[in-house]
Amino acid sequence: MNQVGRDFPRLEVRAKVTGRAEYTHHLRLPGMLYGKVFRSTVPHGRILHIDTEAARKLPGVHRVITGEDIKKLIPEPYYGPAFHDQPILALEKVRHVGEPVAVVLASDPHVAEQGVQLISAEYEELPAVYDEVQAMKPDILVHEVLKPAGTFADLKHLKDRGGTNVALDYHLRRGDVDGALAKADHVIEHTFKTQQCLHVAFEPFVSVADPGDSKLTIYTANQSPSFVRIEIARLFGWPENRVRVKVPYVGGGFGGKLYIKLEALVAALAMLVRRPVKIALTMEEQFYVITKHPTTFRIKSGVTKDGRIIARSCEVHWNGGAYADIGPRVAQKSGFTAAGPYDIDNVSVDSYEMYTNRTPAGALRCFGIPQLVWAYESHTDLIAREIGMDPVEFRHKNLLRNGRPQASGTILKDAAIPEVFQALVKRMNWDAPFDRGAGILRRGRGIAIALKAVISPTTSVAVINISADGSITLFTGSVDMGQGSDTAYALIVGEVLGVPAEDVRVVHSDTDVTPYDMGTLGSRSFYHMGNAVRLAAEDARGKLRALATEAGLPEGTNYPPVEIFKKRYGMQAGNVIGTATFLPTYSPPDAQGLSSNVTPFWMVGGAGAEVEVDTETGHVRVLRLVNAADCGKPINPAVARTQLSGAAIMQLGFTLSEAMHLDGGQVTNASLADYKIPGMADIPPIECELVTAEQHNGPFGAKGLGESGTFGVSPAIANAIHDAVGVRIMELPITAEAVLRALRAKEGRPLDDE
Amino acid sequence: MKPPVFDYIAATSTDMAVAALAAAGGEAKIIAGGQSLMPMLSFRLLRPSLLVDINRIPGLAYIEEADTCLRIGALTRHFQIETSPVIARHLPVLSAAMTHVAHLAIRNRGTIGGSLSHGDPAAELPMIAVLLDATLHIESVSGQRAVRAQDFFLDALTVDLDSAEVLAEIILPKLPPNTGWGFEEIARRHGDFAIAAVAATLTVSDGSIRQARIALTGVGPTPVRAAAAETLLIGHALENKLVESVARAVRAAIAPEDDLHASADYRRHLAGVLTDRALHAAWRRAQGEP
Amino acid sequence: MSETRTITVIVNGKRHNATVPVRITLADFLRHDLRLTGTHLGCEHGVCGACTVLFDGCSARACLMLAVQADGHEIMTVEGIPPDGKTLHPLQEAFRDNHGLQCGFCTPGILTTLIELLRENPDPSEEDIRIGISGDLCRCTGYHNIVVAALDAAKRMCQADDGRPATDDRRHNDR
Repeated sequence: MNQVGRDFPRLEVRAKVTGRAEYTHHLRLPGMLYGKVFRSTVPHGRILHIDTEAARKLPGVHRVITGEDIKKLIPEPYYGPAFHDQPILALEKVRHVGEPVAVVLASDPHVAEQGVQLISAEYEELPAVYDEVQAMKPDILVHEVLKPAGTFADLKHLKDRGGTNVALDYHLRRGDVDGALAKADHVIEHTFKTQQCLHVAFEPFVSVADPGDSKLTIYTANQSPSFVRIEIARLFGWPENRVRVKVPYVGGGFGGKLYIKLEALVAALAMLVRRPVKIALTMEEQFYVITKHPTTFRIKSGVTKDGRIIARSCEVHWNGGAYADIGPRVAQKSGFTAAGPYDIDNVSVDSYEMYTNRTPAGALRCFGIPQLVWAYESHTDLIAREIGMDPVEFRHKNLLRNGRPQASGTILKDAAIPEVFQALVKRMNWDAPFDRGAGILRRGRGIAIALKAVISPTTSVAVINISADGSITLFTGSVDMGQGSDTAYALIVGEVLGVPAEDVRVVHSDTDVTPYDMGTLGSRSFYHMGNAVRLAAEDARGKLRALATEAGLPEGTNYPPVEIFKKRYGMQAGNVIGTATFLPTYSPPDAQGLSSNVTPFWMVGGAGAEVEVDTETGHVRVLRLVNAADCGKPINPAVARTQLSGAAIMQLGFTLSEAMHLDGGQVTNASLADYKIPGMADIPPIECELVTAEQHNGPFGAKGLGESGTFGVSPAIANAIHDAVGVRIMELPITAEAVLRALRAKEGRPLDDE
Repeated sequence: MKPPVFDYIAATSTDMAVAALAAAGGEAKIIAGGQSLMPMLSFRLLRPSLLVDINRIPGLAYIEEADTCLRIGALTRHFQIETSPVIARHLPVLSAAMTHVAHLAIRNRGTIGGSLSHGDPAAELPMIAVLLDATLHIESVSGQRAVRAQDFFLDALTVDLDSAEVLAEIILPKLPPNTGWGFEEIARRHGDFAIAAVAATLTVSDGSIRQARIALTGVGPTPVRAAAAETLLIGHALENKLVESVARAVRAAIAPEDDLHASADYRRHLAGVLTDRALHAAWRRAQGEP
Repeated sequence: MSETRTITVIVNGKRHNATVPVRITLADFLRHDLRLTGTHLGCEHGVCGACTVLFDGCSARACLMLAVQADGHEIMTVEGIPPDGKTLHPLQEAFRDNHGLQCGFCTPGILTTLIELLRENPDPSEEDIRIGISGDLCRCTGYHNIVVAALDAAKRMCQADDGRPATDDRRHNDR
């Protein structure tokens, strides 16, 4: 029976519908202390004094820890995947409101919380910078010197750079943009902005550290346990094998739980007090951990009379907040495709990752791509309008096709751009007459399409154990945070080894037993780990055959494994261990930002929207949201569709309602009541189409798609609003008030005159 | 998100509740549905020394029909009001408003007395109480008193209720015959507090308006009755020019503020638009249309 | 130290006696004292819905109630939904078969709310479902499969119940 390609229930679904699934959220260990964090109330300041005395005296408080205590344990207590810039607890300076300054430890979390309220701190306030463009001026410096981590080879050149808030600048130069712009019939320029958003995983950040005699165990809701182990070992100066990182099911990640969040803190606390320590953040505290970059994107295109884009320049400023996290990689990797899924001979990209005094920004479902698509697909629509072409026809004319060089110079391969676009056009009935509404309710429709290069080069390792009874266990470092990776890998193993997927046991991340994986991020896992799993299964299959030969069983016969083991070892004994490591090839960008091999696979996704605008209130009702993505050959189509619908609705929230509001560096809506993620009654019916193609180097022809569903949503809606009522929104989110203000401005009677 | 320390009494009578409140000398809070109080405790925005739980007081949750009014016990849950056939028959504008109050699980617990006592500036129930000229019966150890809803809401989250008093009963006069109603709300999401909402009733006979009521929420620190605007309607049939001037009067009667969810300008604008829509709906219903 | 009270609560049909600090929420009591960790805490201020349980049959946020308030009452959590240790409830089967979940963190609250909704309205429309469980947020699925699963569950439960009237009148307080 074919395992891959069928709609298959999740392996863990029974545990999840009965309330028995294990999350770090539930964990309690004997003797465990709860830590509650005292946070900075100023956006930028020198720490003058931290008064912890009252908290220390509170009955039930075990200990109060500050950055200076951590420093006694770890002399250089700075961590981060791209830069070693983030202190475990603030030292000397605080750089954003909400930065952890001290921790109160108590057996009762109520007491720990009360203790936090008894701490006070004095700061010498420093001027702060919040805007990503203003941060280009070096008069306010968030960090004096850049401290690249060395993890990523392409960031090493930044070492010791100082006097700037630019954490990373990526530049791409292809062809002659200025020359082509001079020749173009139309030169069109716009600036688009996006807002600061939040992941809002429903299991807030939670980590537990247990200091054993010779080993530190960390239980954590994290997407990259291998990185946690390496980074914690580095901080303590230990070998990797002294740190054990275990990850059970994770209640949502979306990029927020990548790399290190609370892990270094709980590890240090546990080592200081020699007791297990748990820190479980509240939903409010999540607003001070990691966010989605606000951006300013200046985009300029040169277009010929007949509608060919001949040049495009892109300047993007990414607001990375106070600590780099993975922001520099977001700015760089997304830079490759900042000009969109179009065949343009002359392209320049300037992408700047900026330090500011905000909550840090990192990866959020797509490593920056949705911010770029918002700009370039809104811009593309505006160009079509300006030159008087239908937006679908205009895109058709310019779409990049397989075999042609992408802006980075890499030849496009296995990217179903025209197919995805065609699927959208067809589903949207673009050529059919469209009811445009009447009176105060006006209707419009819009479309958008995008391309992403996966985060590469990265490594995944898989191990498969066939036991002597033939039962199969898979060990991977992938984290199943809802995307269904356990199930997908079981299907791959089942396919290779000829067993039902439901009989494959998948062991969750436990760095004592599961091998290295770079991280569950950026839609990379399914491709990278999927390939490793397939190769490991093939390795096991080969070894099982060899065992049969050793046992003297004739070749080509199909003995069940249990017979092979029995024959070879005389009883039910032994194992076959299959292993594989997968690392795709990659060429780093040269001085021009160009590379012949920038990604092992491309992701393609797009959206179409029909909206109804209430011209009296500005309220936008999305009547229909169509999503299509290139999924290669899907391994589990039902899960793939859920990934698309989930991504699309998350992006719908970023489009219409979600925004972190800042006042003097303070987040003024740090609660789920005031930060508005979409609910079930707020969203349209969503149609998701998997565009089946072949990813030649993917596992069974498949590719990752956890992010593709986000790509087109924001510009498709803005384009539809423009189509409906003739106004263009240049900044997210598109609130009813923003639409009304635009309508009134267009009518020449601004709202505030009323 | 863990509440501070407090003591707790589960009152079994209103007398017991008010005695406990009096004894606590202003440091006690009543817990009814708890849907607003519990988050404030968890955020440690409130630190009462004592919680007086009134959920176990028998006979405090009821909807009773009298000749000219409905009497609603303070502990009556939102869900009971929403689904009450008596309310649907006599005060359909209240039934309609209830569907905008949060979500099912919140409406199962939240109470009318709690919502009015909390006095959220963007909540629906205070607006309806003001619209319908409710009378609120309040008890304390020193006796009982009655307050008109109009006078009850003093400021945002501030009502005319002493820390030793409990709101016991809400009396809502029935609407006259030939009265139509309208309810219009704009919120960020389904179930959210209103950015702006307007409720209106029109009593019509012989083609002209005899009585008009317009109330708003979300457009200032307290719910607002737009009395001057109401007056403009009396004696007329509803037509667009009239509605325009009424909407103008409504916009003039309110003092909205900027907040996270909308600017004062936008709220003022919405007040006009929603007044227009609510009045048209009320007019249609007064003519017997659904 | 915090005041305590001794309470008796029936949870998923089983009687529990416990002494609890009065400030402990019902959610913390279920999760920590009874180890019924299926009741998840997302926001702890009544917005996300993950901690929704049935309190005397009606959905309620366990983070917005105190454990002492449950004294003498009946609670049903997600652990109480399956008819026995082996079989899944048709609602759970529908969520399994229709992929009505991803990370699973919101699932317990959605299931308990739907137990109430489908009891009161055994033949809901899609709109009824969307409004009825609008207070249960999900960040993963985009809701589509949750709605599909809920509608499928209604069908399965109707077949299983064979027309048994599902409503009761205890929620109406009209006199």
